[in-house]
Amino acid sequence: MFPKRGAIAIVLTALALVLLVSFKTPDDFGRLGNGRTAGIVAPGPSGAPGATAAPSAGDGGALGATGPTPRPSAGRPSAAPTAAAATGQVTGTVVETRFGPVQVRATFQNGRIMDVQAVQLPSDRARSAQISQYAEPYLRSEALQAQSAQIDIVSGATYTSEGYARSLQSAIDQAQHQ
Amino acid sequence: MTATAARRPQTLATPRAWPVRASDLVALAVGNGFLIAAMWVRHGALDQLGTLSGVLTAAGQLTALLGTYLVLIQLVLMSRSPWLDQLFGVERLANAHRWLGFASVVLIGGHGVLTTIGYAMGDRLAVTTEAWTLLTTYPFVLMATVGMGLFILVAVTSVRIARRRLSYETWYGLHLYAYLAVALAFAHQVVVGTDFSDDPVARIYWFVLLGLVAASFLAFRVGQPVALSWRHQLRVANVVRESPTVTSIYMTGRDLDRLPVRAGQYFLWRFLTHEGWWRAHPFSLSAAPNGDYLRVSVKALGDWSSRLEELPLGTRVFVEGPYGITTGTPRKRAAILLVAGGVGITPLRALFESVPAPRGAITLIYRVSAPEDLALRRELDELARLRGATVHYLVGRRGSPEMPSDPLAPAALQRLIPDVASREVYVCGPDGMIATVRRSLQALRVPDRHIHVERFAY
Repeated sequence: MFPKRGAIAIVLTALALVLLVSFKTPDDFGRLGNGRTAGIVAPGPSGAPGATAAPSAGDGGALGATGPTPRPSAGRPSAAPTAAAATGQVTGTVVETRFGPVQVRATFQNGRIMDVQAVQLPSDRARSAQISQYAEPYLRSEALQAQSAQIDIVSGATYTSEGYARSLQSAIDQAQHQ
Repeated sequence: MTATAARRPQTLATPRAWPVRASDLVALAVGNGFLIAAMWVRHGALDQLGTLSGVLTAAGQLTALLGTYLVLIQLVLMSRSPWLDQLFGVERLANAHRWLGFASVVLIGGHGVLTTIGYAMGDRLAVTTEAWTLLTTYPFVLMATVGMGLFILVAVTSVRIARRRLSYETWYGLHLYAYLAVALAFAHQVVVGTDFSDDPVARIYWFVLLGLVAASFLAFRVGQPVALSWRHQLRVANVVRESPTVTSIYMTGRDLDRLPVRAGQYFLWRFLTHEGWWRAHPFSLSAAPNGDYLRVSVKALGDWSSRLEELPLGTRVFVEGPYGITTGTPRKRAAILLVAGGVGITPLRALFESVPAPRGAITLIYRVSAPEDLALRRELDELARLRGATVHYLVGRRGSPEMPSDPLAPAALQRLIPDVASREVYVCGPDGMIATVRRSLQALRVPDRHIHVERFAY
């Protein structure tokens, strides 16, 4: 006779497997922005000039993970193009993210955002630095295009994108109150 | 039905010889190892070495890659591919499996520890916090951690002390969890693993490697046995008691002359009865293949082997194999010495019958501790007469009045077989006896390459 203990072990193992497989991790973690893992992916469809440089196959999609997806905008909504006369450079606040501080400096001319430069981006780990380096041009061009901090998150750099948006928002806020 | 009477009008099928060399396989395995290490370097491992956290993370990555690679090698070893069996023999494969197994568990455990600490330092988090983050927010990491736990379970239960306390069935059942562990670890490798998540070439390489391993495993552990068993439709034809403790099972089937097997080899047998189908028994053929029937001779050791006596005639039999390289062909020396201990006689009995050798060039030593343990004696005497061979029965407990000294000690062996140093020697029996015989043979200057040991199949 097939040993009873064996049969019990099989049933328990199957149950444990079901529980294990049904365990879900947060959707946008791991693939996105943890600085070590999958996915430096092309940015959202708002598209950046540099999009041709996007490594299209890096989507970590081997196991059904989704490809490049536009993420909902990060950062607080802000009034579109900023108030009247702001001109000059404003440095945003330092935003601590999981992978290190993010800080940007925005250049305004008559309330328009002319340029955004990263003062700090996560660079502790080689992978973080790599991701930062990759994500920054997209974030910058999105910000310039949107003329606000309402920018799409770059897949593969969620935390960095959010930090970028928040720091930029603080710079815009400061510029408006100048 | 006697074992010796069968004549062979037809030529019998023999296992095919595989054109693979051991050195090629070793080169392939090592080469792949270097390729994997190179991949690790290419993906920026060395850039991380500036900080302690980076060093740990990179080391965690390398231990993961190499540990997993060793696991894949294990799967290949355990696929029981006939070409591996032919090249290295079961004993060496099992030894390699044992040490590679422990090594891979150490590497995989190291991966878990190093990666967690490395990430924790990088994130400036407590190790416990980082571990929690990894388990709960990284996809498939919890799954992989359970897999790692299973690997450790398998390793711990295979440590000698633990192994002795567990029944074979329990140990074997737990060992099956290693397969589950491989499956559980897979997803996190390709989704979270730095080397695969964003390098499509590396990912394709990894899939191909895993695919080949899986294919070879399925082909040899499932496909081949199913095809063989289906083709030959083996059934139990007769069950004969040979001695108070040894029972022979005869099996017949379709086209047995086309069943490729040599004397000295063994199959894993499953007797498809209600209570026994799930157990595979490694039994050597105890009669040379003859195209008419296959025979195994089994010693009643535990409850299951005593139950084999009650096998109903007509029981279907499922086989995996054949395995084993103590077939006597090819060999370097014409003269042969066979040394059997107890039920270890079975493969040597088959060799004694059919191994090609000049008349008078075969000698068999059959060592048992009590006269009632002598099985197949009548057959052996008859074969000896037919082939002009010699049989020495060494009966008695070592240290008892009738056997004061070990008859397999060097001096005694030399007296019994004066030309032992110039013979090809085949040994099968309990571990203790094998060790004694090996020591004696080495003392008598029989080179290791002329000593062949069959340890696993009785």
